[in-house]
Amino acid sequence: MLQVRGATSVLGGVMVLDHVDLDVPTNSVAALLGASGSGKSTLLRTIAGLQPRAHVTWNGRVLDEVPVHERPFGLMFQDHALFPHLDVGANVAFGLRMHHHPDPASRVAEVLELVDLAGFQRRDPATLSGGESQRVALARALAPGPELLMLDEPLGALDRELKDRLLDELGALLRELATTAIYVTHDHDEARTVADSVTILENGCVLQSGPIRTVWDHPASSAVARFLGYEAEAEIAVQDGIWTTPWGTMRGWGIEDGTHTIVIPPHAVEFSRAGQLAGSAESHRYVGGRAELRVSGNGSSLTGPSDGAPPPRGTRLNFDIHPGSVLRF
Amino acid sequence: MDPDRAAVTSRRNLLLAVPPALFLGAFFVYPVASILALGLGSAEGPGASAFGDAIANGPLLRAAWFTTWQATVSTLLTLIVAFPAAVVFGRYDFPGKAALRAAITVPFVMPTVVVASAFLTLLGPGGPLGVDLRRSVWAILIAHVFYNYAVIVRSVSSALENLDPSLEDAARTLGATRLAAFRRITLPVIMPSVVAAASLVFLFTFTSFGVVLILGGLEFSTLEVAIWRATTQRLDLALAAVIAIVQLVGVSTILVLLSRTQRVRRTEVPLVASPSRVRRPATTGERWTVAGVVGATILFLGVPLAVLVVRSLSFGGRFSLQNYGELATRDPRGLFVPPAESIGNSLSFAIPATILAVGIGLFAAAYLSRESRRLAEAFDTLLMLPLGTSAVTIGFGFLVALDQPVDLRANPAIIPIAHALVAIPIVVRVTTPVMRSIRTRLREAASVLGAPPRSVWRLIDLPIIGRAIAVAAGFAFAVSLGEFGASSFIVRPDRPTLPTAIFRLLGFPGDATYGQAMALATILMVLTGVAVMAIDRFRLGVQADF
Repeated sequence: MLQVRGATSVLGGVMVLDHVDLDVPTNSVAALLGASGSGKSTLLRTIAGLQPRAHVTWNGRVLDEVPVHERPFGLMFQDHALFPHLDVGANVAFGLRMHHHPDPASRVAEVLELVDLAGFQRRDPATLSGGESQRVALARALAPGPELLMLDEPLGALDRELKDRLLDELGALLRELATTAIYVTHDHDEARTVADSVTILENGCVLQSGPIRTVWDHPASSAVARFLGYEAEAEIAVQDGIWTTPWGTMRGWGIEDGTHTIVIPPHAVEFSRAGQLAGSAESHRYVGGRAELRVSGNGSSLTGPSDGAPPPRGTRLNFDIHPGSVLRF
Repeated sequence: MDPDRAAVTSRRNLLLAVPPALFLGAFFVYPVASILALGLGSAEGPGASAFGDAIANGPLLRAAWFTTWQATVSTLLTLIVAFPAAVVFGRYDFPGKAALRAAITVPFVMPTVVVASAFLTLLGPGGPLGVDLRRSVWAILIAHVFYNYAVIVRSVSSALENLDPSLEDAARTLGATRLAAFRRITLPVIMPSVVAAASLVFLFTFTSFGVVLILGGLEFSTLEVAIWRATTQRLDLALAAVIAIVQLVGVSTILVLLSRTQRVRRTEVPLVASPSRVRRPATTGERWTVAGVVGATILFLGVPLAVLVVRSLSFGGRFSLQNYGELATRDPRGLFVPPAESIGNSLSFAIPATILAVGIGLFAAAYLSRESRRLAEAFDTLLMLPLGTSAVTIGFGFLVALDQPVDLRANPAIIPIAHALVAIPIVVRVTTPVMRSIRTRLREAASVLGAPPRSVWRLIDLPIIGRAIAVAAGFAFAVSLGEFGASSFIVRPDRPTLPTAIFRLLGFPGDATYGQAMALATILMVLTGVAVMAIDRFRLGVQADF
């Protein structure tokens, strides 16, 4: 179990990390999710010991005074940081030699095989493709058998197609190794694919932390909801189970009488001819194989899954909102 | 990083600057300060009017005027002559390009004495051209173009090679002709490189000593030569100091401008990793152009050195090795010692000079690569000063200053020290960019993988800069072998170095000593060539600012 307490970092007068706490149970993968500049990389560097000022314990052992090279952690850098003067084999063996591993050569072969790069030992890092370089960096971080593996935007610089493929491989590998890992990313899909739990950072503060499902289904604040892409926000008035929305009235439940601000995730919307609500079609876009349709009415808009062809702009469309999926803060 | 930690790191970095600062303080700042004291003091002292005399009598004004205009004309001529080759090297691929690129650097690193000897023969009455341009300004100008050809070709062609090809492509898609794209896009983008290279040439020709001393005769005198003449012939140290001050002011001004152009270059030229614009000449016209430029380059750079070798092998009009044989004997009309001894002397000075220059230079480079603030910039300029200040001022300063607190002037150790001073800027220029290129990430990655702090430098930095160190050492060695300006003040006649021996031999009348000078110059050329070839073996992947 990794425990971080009060991680704080100030850079040029700006609070990059503001007393952040983090718990990562052993044998689980935690995602650190946040926009660039949210402090997630800094948090990783703090845990690794590259930056001071955090109370870090690992399985009960206090690491505050342990220098970076003596911590039982591995870190895979965003830009991979392969040593240009060493070949792939020597890069992977570097950590093994530092830890006086009895047989670096066979361990190197083993981890290179694990990342699907068997026989790459003599290659010059400069000749590697993006995906190969990423896997060498992973192999190098894995080789000494770190108790905790930290990955800083490991797929950051890669193109979409390669990213998707490597993401699946990486997720499978982390589960297979049953290792404890922290995965830093700004990409929701990556976090959902790889991690068991997620911590969302914004401006150096933790917005929400918890299991993946919980966070996605029950964002703790409108800030988290916005960050997760739930952008449809509306004012509604509720009286006797009738919701008056910008798009008409409907029968709802679960919200007491009064005026409320609700957030409507895309999965709460269903387009159908018999829908109680209506708006005019605004835009239509494909997101990773699914189509999303945006409608608006009375100055408020929302997005829901679409299955048909894109309707002409301005077409009047009927839909329902599933009251149980609506978020309220 | 936390501010307090940044402060600690900064303090630790500052320690790196201590050895170079002490060395430069003792052997550069102190001697230069002594020159200033001597020169400015003479304005009021009992001798009264060295300053006024210098200005009134003319050697100073004449030398200053000649120095400036010959440097300007030399620079413009070099730009004009070398530009076609720079474009051919930057745009086209042709057989033997790598070898030729290495070869064109040979003149640049050749000792001034060798180049001057070569042009003395080439442009002399017995030369193959059948003209006598000795003691004409043309000999000086042509030698300067020969010397600095590589500076323009190397830096302008590498700017062209590294130019993002999409810039010109974009211009073409917007309707620009090839010529228009070159003139309106390429030229402005590489202009900082052109200006930087031209300023370097201006600096080198502004401080030209050996070429002017040997080819210019008594008529032409740069500030450098004027300092030397005032010291060794008029024995007027105050006058020499006054001229040296003028020289220092001029050089400092050029250096400040130079560092400004380099800063511009660093920020404004977009670079891509792999050159993709370089290609084989496609049309017949292109092939003829490339062939013509390459041929002219080989002729222009090869003939003078070839003439030197041929002259060294001719004795009494016939082919003979006698000039070389004579080197082993002491000629009563020549030096105090057999000229061949100068070879051993030069080598025995070059080795400690190289070790000293690389050692001190690495500390300076380590500091510069970790700091990027004002202080580091000032330090950078200080480090470059010995390069520009001119070896002559360094030698003169040693002569004036190093009698106190300990008299070092007769100590042979000051020769490698002077050579190291001249070589340190080159070591710093070669190694700093490579050190800067080592990203902090790599050191952090090593730490995370378990490398203790004391090992990180050995495991990461040192291997990466290893080749750059080898290149720097080769340059330092070559500089020491060929160093003439400072040596001409501090080398003792009974222990001459190769360049001082050649210069003295050239000064005696007669065919025999002239032949010996050519033989020694050829030996010096070969030794320097070997050092440079060793450099080029390591050079791959090392980007220097030269």
